[in-house]
Amino acid sequence: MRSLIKLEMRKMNIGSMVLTFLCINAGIIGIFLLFGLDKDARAEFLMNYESVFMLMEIFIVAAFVIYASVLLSHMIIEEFRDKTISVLFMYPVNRKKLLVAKVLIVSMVTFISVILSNIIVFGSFAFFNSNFHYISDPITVDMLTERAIRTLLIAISSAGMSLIPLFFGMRKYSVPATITSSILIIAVIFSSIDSSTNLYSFITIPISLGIVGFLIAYLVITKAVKADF
Amino acid sequence: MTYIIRTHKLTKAYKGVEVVSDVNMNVKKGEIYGFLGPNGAGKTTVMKMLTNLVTPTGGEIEVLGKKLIPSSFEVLKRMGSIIEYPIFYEKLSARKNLELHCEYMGYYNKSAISEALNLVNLVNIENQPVKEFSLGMKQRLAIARAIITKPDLLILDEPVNGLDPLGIRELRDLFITLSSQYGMTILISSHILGEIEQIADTIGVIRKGKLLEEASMDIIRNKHVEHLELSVKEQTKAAFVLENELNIDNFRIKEQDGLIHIYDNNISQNDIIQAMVTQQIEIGSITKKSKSLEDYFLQLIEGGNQHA
Repeated sequence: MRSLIKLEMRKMNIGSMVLTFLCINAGIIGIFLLFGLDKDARAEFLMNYESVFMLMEIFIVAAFVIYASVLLSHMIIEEFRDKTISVLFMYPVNRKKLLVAKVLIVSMVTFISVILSNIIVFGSFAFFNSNFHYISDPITVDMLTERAIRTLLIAISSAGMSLIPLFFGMRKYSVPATITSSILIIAVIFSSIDSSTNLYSFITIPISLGIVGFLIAYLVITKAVKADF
Repeated sequence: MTYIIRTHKLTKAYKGVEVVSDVNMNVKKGEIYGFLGPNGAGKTTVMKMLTNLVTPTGGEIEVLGKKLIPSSFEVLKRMGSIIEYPIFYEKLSARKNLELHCEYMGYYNKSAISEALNLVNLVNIENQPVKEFSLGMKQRLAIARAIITKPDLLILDEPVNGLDPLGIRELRDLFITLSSQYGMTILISSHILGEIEQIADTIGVIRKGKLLEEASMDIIRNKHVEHLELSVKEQTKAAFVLENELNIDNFRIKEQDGLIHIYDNNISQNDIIQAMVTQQIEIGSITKKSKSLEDYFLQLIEGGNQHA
């Protein structure tokens, strides 16, 4: 399985993936800095750590779940659409393993990106906070531990959630359907119930979505393995 | 006799419509098997079933001595193939495509890539992305990919599509070399007889999903190539002479043309002329006609279309 993952990675452009990751992080940090410039926005979004954390979570998860759909398009949907998958399926390799390797890469990239971005974005925020004093309360160890646990859970669930677009994309091997569905999923779960609550705030929802994502991947793979090409 | 491919009543139906039905195919070890049929006859579907891309709805396949089941993949290691049209990762270079192929096949001979590219005459372009290739070049690259690991069985679905006449000849020679030097068994399909007539040892003709004939080229050549065309006025009389004086029964009377076709190869023109002269039958002309294999196969393939 490890060698299959390595082979998949050789087909990808790692440089551009790293660049995308850095751009996304720079963008999110930029948004926070913009909030800091405007008095009203600062009062609304940067008044305490809870709201900063919530915003961070929304931006990061949204960005990487959508980015995952781009990866899914390249690695899975396009392979089926362009029939390169039929070349792969003529190799002396278990078809299931081939597809699991692809799905695992997307999940792992999402998981790692979400965790790293949380660290980078919060690190930057803490740095700017020490200069510009958006929030004067100190950060407690308890807050950080709680945050770390939630981030881990969110990262795991995002890894699963990032696979949900497969369900829509694999029906007609359509890249637009894959990416659009990921945007819709993000739009629905992050639509606010009120100013500080959205569907995603209840930890059970991201976790169930994560499970749904993994189930979808399992079903898609089982079906694809049996298909004719 | 060892068989590399054997199918027994191989059938594939899509939504109840059979596109391949009851095909019993036998490909011997080391031979070049020409798989001939018009477009849409089921050649590609059969080849896809042999490479496990398509699951049969009926019948059995035995490849390289093992029974093929939907989950088998180990046997694919000993096969090289081109199915339908050349498919590559278009953004990657030719060399990178071949490198990936070797990795997936578990083949680690580094010099094999250059060797294969040389064999198909693709040089100095290996670092270009495949999307910049013409169809002919892609076809060559696909053949290079199929032979790179020196497989025991080579399955080539219309491999000379998109090639110029010179290229077709080059590849024909290549296939003969692969068969004779490396002992590869080659299954090669085409809808043009001329492409495979010269290289095939055995020919299988498929039409509308049914294997109409499977025979060695030698037998087919002897059986169908030659006949004598006799032009006479009194056909009935001439026929009587042929049958009773010369003991020939393998002939056909073409009344509207005033001709008799004699398919018996053992009789000489002289004997016929002599017999006719003796019986005072006037001969317009007598000629030896070699009916090309092309005609024979066209007849075979189109046979079912005539509504008699």
